[in-house]
Amino acid sequence: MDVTVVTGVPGVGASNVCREARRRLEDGYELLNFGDIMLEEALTRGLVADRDDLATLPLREIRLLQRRAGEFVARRARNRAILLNTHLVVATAHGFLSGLPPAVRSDVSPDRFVLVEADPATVGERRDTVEYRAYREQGERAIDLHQDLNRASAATHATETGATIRLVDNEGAVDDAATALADIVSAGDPPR
Amino acid sequence: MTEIRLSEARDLFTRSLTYPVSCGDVIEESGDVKLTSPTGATETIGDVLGRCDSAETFDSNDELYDTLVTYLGEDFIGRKHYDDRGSNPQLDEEVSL
Repeated sequence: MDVTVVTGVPGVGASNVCREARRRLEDGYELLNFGDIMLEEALTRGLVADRDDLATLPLREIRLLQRRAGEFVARRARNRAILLNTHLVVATAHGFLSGLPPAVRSDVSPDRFVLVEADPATVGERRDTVEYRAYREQGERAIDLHQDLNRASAATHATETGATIRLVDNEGAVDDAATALADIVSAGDPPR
Repeated sequence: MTEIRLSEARDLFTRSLTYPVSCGDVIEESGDVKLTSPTGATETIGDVLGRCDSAETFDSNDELYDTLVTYLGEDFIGRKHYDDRGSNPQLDEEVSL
C-alpha cells in the first residue's frame, strides 16, 4: 500500500496538520505516529516512563526501538494507506540522529516525504505555548538547522528510494496545511 | 469489543473526537475499546482514563495520548528490559558505538 512520511521539527505543528488531514481522509487510511510506536515498545520493556525519556536512551536502545517501530508500520501498511508522522532527524541527548536509518526505511518503504515547515521564529513562538512537552535544541538557529537537516535527510532518502518530496507550508492556518496534505496523500504522485 | 494496540489509539482519537474534549467524554466515546500491549496484556481505555479526573480537558490528541500513556496500568507496561525476541546479536553489533 501507500506510505506517506510526514515530518517537521518539533513545534512546527506537524501533528496537528496530520490530525486535521486524517479527518479529511477516508477509512482506508491510518494515521500513525512513529514516536507513539517507539514509546509503546519502550514502555513494554520498562525503558522509559514517558515520551521525553526516549531521547535520553542509549543509542543502541533507540535504534532497537526504531527497528521494532518500522516493522510495526510495515505490518500495518499491508492493507491500508499509512500517514506516518515522524521525525526524519531527531534531537537526542547525543545530538541530531537519523530517525529513519536504512533498515527502518527499508521496512517502512515510503512512497513520498512531506516536509511541514514554518519560519523558525514562528516555530519558536509555538513551542513557547506548549506546557506539556519539553524541547531540545532551542533557538531560531537550531530550529533552522533542524529544518535544513530534515530537507537533507529527505533528499538522501528520496535519492536512494525514488520517493518524492513535497512541501507543506504551516506558517498560516492549520486548516490550509491540512487540506494541502490531504490532497497530496489522496492524489498520490503523478506517474513516474 | 474492539481491540487495538496503544499506538493505534491516536488514529481512533483523531477520527472519533473533537477537541477540546473532556476525559469523561473520551470514556463515553471510546471507553470500551481494549488496548493490547505487545506482550498480550490488555486494559480498556475506560480503565486507563478512569484513573484521571473525569473533568480534565484535552486540547489536542497529543495531550490525550500522553495522558493515556501516563495512566497505563503496571501490568500493561510490563517487565523491565523485556525483549520479545530475546537477545539480538546482529542488532547489538550493528549499533554498538
